[in-house]
Amino acid sequence: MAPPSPAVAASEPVLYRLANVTKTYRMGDVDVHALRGVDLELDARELVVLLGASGSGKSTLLNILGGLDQPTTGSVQFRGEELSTLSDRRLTEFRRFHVGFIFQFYNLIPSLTAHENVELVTDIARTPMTADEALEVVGLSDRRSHFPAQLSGGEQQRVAIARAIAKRPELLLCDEPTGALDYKTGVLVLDVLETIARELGTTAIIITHNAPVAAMATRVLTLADGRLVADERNAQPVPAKELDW
Amino acid sequence: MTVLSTKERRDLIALRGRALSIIVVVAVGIASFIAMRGNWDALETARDRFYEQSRFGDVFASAQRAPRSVVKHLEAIDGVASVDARVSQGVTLPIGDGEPIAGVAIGVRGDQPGTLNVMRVVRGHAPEIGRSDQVVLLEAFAHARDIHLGDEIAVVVLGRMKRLRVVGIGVSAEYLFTMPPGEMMPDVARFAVLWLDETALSVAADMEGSVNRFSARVQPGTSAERVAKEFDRVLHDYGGLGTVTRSRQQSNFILESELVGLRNMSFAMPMIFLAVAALLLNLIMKRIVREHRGQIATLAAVGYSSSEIAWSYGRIALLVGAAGAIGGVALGWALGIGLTDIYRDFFALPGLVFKLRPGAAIGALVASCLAALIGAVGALRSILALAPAEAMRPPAPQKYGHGAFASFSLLSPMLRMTLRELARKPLRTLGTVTAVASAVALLVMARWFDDAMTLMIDTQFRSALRDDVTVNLHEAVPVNQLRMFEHLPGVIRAEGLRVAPIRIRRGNVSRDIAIFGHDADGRLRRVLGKYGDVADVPPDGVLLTSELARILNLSVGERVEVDFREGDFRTRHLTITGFVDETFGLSAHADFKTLTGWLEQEPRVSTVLLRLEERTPSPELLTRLREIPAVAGVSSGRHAVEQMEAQSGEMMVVFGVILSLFAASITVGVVYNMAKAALASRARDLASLRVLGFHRTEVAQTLGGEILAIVTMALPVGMLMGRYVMLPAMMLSADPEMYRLPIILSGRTLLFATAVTVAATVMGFLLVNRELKRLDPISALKTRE
Repeated sequence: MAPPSPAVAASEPVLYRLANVTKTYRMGDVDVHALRGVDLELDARELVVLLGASGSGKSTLLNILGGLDQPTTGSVQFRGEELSTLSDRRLTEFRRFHVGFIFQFYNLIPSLTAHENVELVTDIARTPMTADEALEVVGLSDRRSHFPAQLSGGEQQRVAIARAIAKRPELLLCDEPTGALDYKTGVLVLDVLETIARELGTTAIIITHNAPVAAMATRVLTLADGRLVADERNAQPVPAKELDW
Repeated sequence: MTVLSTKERRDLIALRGRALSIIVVVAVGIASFIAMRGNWDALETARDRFYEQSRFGDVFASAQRAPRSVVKHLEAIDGVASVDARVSQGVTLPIGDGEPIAGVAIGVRGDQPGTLNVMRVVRGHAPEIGRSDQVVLLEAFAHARDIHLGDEIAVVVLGRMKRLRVVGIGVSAEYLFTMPPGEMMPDVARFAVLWLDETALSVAADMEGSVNRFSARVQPGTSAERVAKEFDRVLHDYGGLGTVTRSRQQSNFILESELVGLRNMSFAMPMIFLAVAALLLNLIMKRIVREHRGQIATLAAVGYSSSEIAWSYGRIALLVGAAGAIGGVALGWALGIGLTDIYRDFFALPGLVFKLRPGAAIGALVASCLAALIGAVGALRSILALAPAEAMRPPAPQKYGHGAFASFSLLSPMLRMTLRELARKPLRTLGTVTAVASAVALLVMARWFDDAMTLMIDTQFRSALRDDVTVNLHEAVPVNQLRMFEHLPGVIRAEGLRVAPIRIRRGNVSRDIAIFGHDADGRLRRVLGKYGDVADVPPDGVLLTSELARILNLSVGERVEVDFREGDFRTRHLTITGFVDETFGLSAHADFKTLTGWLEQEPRVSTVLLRLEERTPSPELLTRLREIPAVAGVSSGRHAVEQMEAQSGEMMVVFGVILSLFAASITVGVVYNMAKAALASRARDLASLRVLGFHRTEVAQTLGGEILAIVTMALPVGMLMGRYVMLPAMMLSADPEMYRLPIILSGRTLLFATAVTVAATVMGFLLVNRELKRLDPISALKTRE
């Protein structure tokens, strides 16, 4: 099975369809039930904020949506294609061509410069923007030759965003993108994310335990103890710049 | 270049210290391969070319005296391609004031070189036809004795002294190695090979119209063994002294055993180093993968497949292997050229040039990369097995058990920390101990030859060879002539020894050896076992070297067939009464009177053993000995030892120093890597100790403790490994028919191995200690797992 191509993708309004997804994993000697039966449909171009306490299963859900992890049971369809049965190779291709990840701790490769960290993606994507373009989008053109250790937290996260969007992904998955940042930098980063999602028509899913961030979403999902406990749509999202916490 | 390769390059730069230590170990292993393999190649090539150029024979025979017409009979033997017959005569060279030296003179016909075993004149010219005063001297001997073209030398032929002018210096495939009669180690300085005009030599040796030395080449597909048997049959009537095939020809036999040893070592040595390098890479790569969990997860998240990521790390290992190989080839090249220089003195092969074959370099590269990949495979598999989402999470805390050390509650917490660290990863501990132990074993190996020689010389000269001067005679003389030797100046005792050539055989297996007849009252020569125990020579029957018994599959009480090559040339069946573990060669021992009986002769002696007032022979004694026509050569034990040490000593010292340096490189590499890994994995713990108020030296002790524990375990393991694995393996590659040096460990060697290992350990640790000093408690605590 080939990964879904963008051409086919456009005709399908539902991006994700999850049915009874569970996830159990072992950590050390402990069994962790991260997800306990999640049913969910996500549409294209939504800006989703995923709320929940620490350990509620947010990251696990995000990893499964992004093809980083497979559910223990249940079905995950991306544009009608079943992800849960894809081989490791296909999952890698899915991530490579469709998904951009942004992490709480940026996860930049310390031995590569900002520019090179973005190039890591443009090297393998199908129709990427150039690394310079991506850095331009996040306003870091002048920091292109700096190593992560020479960048502030906000700058590092913006490099991570540039790296995520450089492949022109259909899906941006952000795990606590502002978790390690101060308020001002956090808002700046969210603004960049919002702008990119709007301008590139990308679906974005943002995990946060910071409830006020939910105001910028078109849809807010809340997880508790591995279950989806709330699913609200927001007709009037607030621009990121106006968020306050 | 992709960004991933940029990352690899920078990762490698960040690892430079540890990578370099592994590169050194790989390079050392590869260098030893390139140097030894290249020399093996060079020796083989030079040997083959020289053998072909000089038309080296397949079969070699000698007889007492045969008419030239016998050649026709030999040529008629089925499968014989060509036959060469010559005159040769045992001679003595009374050089300077020293002891007379035994030698052989061979007849040549001017520039016509003869059909086989052609002597090649490298300087000067061949003796002119009809000139009885010209001689060509073997190059190795001339070099060892500092004799030059134009020099005049004295040669005693059948008791008549002749003065000869050295007109040429020559080499011969038959005499790449020479061994003085009655001795078991090659010694180019104490056996002379001379080529004289054939007619002149025939006259001097009283051999006009006769020949006594034969060689043949066989037709392709013909068994040389069968031809040798036919030679024996034909020459029997002319006092045949036995025929050997090329593989048993003395010089070739010694050369072959050196080559086999070199070839085996050229494989065994690199294997040890590559195995250690693989082990070190295993430790490092696992460490890196653990440290890079987050990076690996990120790469997976942005769309790199696990195999692409694994391959990226695999390339780091490959780069280390390849860098080691390239460094090793360069180092090996230099070492190889140096080794060739040493070999050039040792092997008298013309055209011996070290050559680096592309195949060997490529093989070295492939082997290094393979070792690197084998080392990295565990880490790479863990990358492949790492689920991307799992990699995003910090690794679960490492498991520690109370384990076997729970009961050591009396130990300090620091020591318990050390022991638990070792017990937690038993395989890693085992691997590191094995690596350091192999270095210790190499040190044992480096020193062993010296130990074995010392022990051997010590026992030989204290218990077995108790004479001060050994006089070899051209021919056995009646036993009453001993009295003449007794009256020589400074002599307090003279004893005779009867030595006769025999062929001993059982079924199809046979060996040409010497049988020694020992006087029952003799005190100057005794038969010794390997460890110096004196064996009694039985009044009846023979004692055999146990190696000979093994070859012929004989046991005590059995009878063995013996062809005597002297006296009445009869074949007898002798009873074996016992075995002795002699160090060198193969021989048989019997009672003097019994042997005389078997030879059906009046009592004669062929070697005279002298005990002197002063242990060293006086010039006066040597002068008198030079004047006795029957004397072929004189040797003194001391001289033999000096020669042996001068000859093998230099090579063994070089070999020992290089091997010790190599071994030290392993220990430094292992200790450095171990300390570095411990420092990296426990930076937090160590920083915590600093925060808790431990001093820097106390923190260093926890790291040092681990290393000390490893080295303490490795020392005895390595010594046992050297004693019971490496030395026996090395002896396997030596030809047991030539020598069987005792496998021993001296206290000196144990001390040496310990000292070098401890020094290397301290060096490896000091390299890391600098970083330990820089350990900043606060920043270490801040780092995220």
